[in-house]
Amino acid sequence: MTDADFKFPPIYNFPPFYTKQPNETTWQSQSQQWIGLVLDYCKQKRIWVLNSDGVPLSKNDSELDSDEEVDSLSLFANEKIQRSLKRETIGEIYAQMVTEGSAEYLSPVSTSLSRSLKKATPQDQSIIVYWRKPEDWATMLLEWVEKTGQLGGILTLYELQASESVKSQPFYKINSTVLVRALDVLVKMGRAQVLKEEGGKISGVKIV
Amino acid sequence: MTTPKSDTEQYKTLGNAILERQSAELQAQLAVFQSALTNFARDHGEQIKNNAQFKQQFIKLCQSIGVDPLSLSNYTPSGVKFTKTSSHDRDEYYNNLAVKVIETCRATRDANGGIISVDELISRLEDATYTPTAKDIEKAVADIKLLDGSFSIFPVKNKLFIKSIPEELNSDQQVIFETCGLMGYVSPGMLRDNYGWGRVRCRDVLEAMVRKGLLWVDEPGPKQEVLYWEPSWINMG
Repeated sequence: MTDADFKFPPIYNFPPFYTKQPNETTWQSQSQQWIGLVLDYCKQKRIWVLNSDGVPLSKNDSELDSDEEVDSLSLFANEKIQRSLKRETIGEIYAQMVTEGSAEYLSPVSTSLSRSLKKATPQDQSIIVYWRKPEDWATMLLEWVEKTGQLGGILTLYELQASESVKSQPFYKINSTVLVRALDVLVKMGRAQVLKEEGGKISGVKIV
Repeated sequence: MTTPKSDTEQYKTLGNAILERQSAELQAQLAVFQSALTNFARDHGEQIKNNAQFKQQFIKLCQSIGVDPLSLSNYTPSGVKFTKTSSHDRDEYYNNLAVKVIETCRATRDANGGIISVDELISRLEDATYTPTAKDIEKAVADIKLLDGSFSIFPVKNKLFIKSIPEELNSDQQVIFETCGLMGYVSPGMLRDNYGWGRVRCRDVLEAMVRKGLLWVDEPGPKQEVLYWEPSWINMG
């Protein structure tokens, strides 16, 4: 990737970082460093989804959750040293992230997000990167709703994501799936009720 | 929302929110206090050093709020101030440094198999106020070695390494480290051309070192020779 404003760690330019290390202990260290890098990078760039090649799929663009590639370069490829991680190894890193709770496989959920995604095989999986946990987003949403005196009112997902009133909030332009996960947390706490359209798509939420 | 259960949950949420806010405030206060303490140490370094009781209290205070006394400039041995001070200060400095060396060797062992270059160690220990010298590190490692024989410092060409594992490098492995000193890596081809090693010897030596975590494998692509990198080059990129 070519990006001046993100400071890659030195290991990003170490050629063997792009080969899965056969020594199990070394690989543990290697994969942990990759996971840390993915989380830091996505957090700074507000990237929500990485495809199976490590290419960011949706960014904080005005069209929420567009499936278009915002950047055709993979985070796992380094042109400067001409190395890239094999797709299979990327898959292993993703699997580890999912196990650790720092990512989730992208699968059809009841939002607009799933609209053009083909049925994915395990080898060809995109992930949603949780550079912040759904629980943290849930707390932020709740605080904002409380502070703005909107408890008990009905809010659309769009209002929470993209209206003028949330422009200064950290969850402005939050990815729809991540938002739904955060609302799930609130529902479990008994602090939210979601309103669904026909077909199960969530259209709004009442936070109490 | 009048059932007892949801009330309980609401109290819980509220309680959590208050706790979080308090903890954030405390964090901020602690940070302020830490920086005040650092400034205090800088302004009153002489008094702290010359009054044993004062110093003891000061170090206790540092430890309890998470300021590293070692990082405060008055404990730097190569600084002018240090040379005037007692041997007690000097011992304390090296003891602290030894602890940091052990910590860093442990923290990086998964990535480097237990051998770290002194340069890398220094770059990991230095901060805005303080940089240990290679001499300091050597002295600290000599102290550690008395307690734990597996620690030692050794030169490869003109680069110093510290090992924190019991095994010694054999002569073939030393040759690999030496050759890695040039470009960061070796390949079987390089070993064959420069040292006349046979295929089996190359493979056995390199694979054994990978198994010990001392080398990282680099497969640049199809039809290209596999390279073996020495991990201290991670920080030279």
